[in-house]
Amino acid sequence: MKNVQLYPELFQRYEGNPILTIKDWPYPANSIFNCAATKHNNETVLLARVEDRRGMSHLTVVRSKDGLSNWRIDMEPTILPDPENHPEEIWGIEDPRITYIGELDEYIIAYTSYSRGGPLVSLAKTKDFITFEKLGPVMPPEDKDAALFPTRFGGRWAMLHRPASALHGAGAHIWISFSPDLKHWGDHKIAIRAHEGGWWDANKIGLSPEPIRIPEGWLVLYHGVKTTGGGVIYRLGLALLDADNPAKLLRRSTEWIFGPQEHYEREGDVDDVVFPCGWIVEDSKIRLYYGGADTCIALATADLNKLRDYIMTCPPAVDNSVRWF
Amino acid sequence: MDFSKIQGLFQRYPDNPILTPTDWPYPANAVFNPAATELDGQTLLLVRVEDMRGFSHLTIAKSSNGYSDWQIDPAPVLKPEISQNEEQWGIEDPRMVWLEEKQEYAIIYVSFSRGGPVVSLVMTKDFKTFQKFGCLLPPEDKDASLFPRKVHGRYILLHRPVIRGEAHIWISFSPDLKYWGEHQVLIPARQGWWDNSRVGLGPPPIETSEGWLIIYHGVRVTTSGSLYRVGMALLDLDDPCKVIRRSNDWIFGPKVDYERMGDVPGVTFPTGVIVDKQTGDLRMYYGAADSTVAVATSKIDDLLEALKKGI
Repeated sequence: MKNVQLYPELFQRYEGNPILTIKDWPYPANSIFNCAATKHNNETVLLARVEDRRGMSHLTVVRSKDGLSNWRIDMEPTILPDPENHPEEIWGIEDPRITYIGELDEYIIAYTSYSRGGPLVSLAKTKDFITFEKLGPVMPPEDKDAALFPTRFGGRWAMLHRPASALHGAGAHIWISFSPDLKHWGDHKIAIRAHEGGWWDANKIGLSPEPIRIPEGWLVLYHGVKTTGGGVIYRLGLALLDADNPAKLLRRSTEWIFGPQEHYEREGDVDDVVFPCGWIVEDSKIRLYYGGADTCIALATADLNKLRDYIMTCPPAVDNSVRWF
Repeated sequence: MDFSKIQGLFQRYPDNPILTPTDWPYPANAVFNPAATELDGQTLLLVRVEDMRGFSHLTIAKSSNGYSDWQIDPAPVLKPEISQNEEQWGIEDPRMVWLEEKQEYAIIYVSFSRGGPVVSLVMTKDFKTFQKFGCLLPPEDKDASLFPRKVHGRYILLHRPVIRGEAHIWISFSPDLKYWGEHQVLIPARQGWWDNSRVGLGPPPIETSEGWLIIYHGVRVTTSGSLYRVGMALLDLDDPCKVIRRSNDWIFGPKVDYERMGDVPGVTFPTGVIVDKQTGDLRMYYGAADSTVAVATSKIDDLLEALKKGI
């Protein structure tokens, strides 16, 4: 028998996938996907994007004791778009990421508001996932795929996000911005640049879940979009940002590490998409929650120490102090 | 037909265009879209100059009467800097305001980066030394100006992000000119109208007794190219997020040869305005067909009156 050499798989799919679909939903929905994830009251809390048949999305809380099964879904939408007070939410709210801020003892949710002028980044906060306070838009359009860092840097909050320029060939990159007050943002820089040409992450990348602190720096899981003759393929790669200066890219995987493979990732409203917006680390075990084909929620697990080992074998990033090149 | 004889809110200066590449002391492809202010009793224009590589820089032109006898600096005053990486492909379309409380001019201009156009800030007291502050918002964004003063303790920026071809005028706020937030749509493009494709701020907002007078450009894309015309709106003095009035009609547009023929035909693109506070006389400086600088005049009261009548 031939000795076939396989890529080492860092993430393993949960055998019960997909873990949440519209069949589980307590009210009518077109699709359930792209969920944020965190721990609250010793439970796993997911904040799922739910798209209705009008085509507009809202967010609904789902809880589970073990983070694998017995999900308890809020009986009605938890966070609805509120165009009256937030005109930027006119066409729905999408793709949340949750960051627990120890200093505030609060969770900050970064999500996409689909405004008349295009998608933009909004923030909301909560202590209990029952009541939420919307903080309004923090980036003009087009911008999405944002998450806050859990700590400040030199007194300033930091956020990763993904603006997009309409300019042909400009590409869509992961940016970092800073804020003294979570409300006004500035000092915008590119943190991770999309590759060009034939790479799996050429021209368009975006942050996936919130960055997590590991001893080596900030571990970032991001999605890269490859455009093919038949559509797009959303796959995942890893990057490492400097612990004290998160604008500085230290390392980055050259290969993608997770991509659409199973039926529920290959086929749905948007084929060939794995799109995680949340992950939970417990005892060095990671549970990664991701949208499959913009249609369902699935789970994959990994060993954080293996991810750490892997990212440290990735080549050091070239100097990205040139912010715009 | 001589369109220049049509009675309108704006009167073209008879000797337009007032500045062309042939006036320039060094080789230039086009001179257009100037910021305007008054300095030491003179009119000062900060003119966008496009070189033959296709990259733009800014050069000062001064005149005692604001119409003729322009003294043009022999060299650019603001050039794209390699150290400012976002300026790789040039700097364009400035708008400037005098910030009384800072005793400085604040110039917002477009940096043309590889990542797309972005809005940048530079400050000066004397138009000799300048301090660049880099980009204020991520790409793609342009057509931005500050208000000439703070409102309720915060600076205000009007700007125009572009999203998949759609482009509206947005408003944002900052306590310090560095960090910006509370972004919202202020003046949207209007489907089907003369300003259906894109809208963008023209000159900086003008403070009047009735509110902040906004002169903006609206774009209609036709089968043979784009038409850049001019409309106006009035914002509440105390709460500039409130649009009190907006013109239905365009009030100025490409009609005469120097507006209809050039690198980009069919463009009137106002970026600077000077108002005589005593008389309310207004001079609007605009780029014509992305090739030359022209000027047209009006009166603040006439513009406000037209808005009130629902033009």
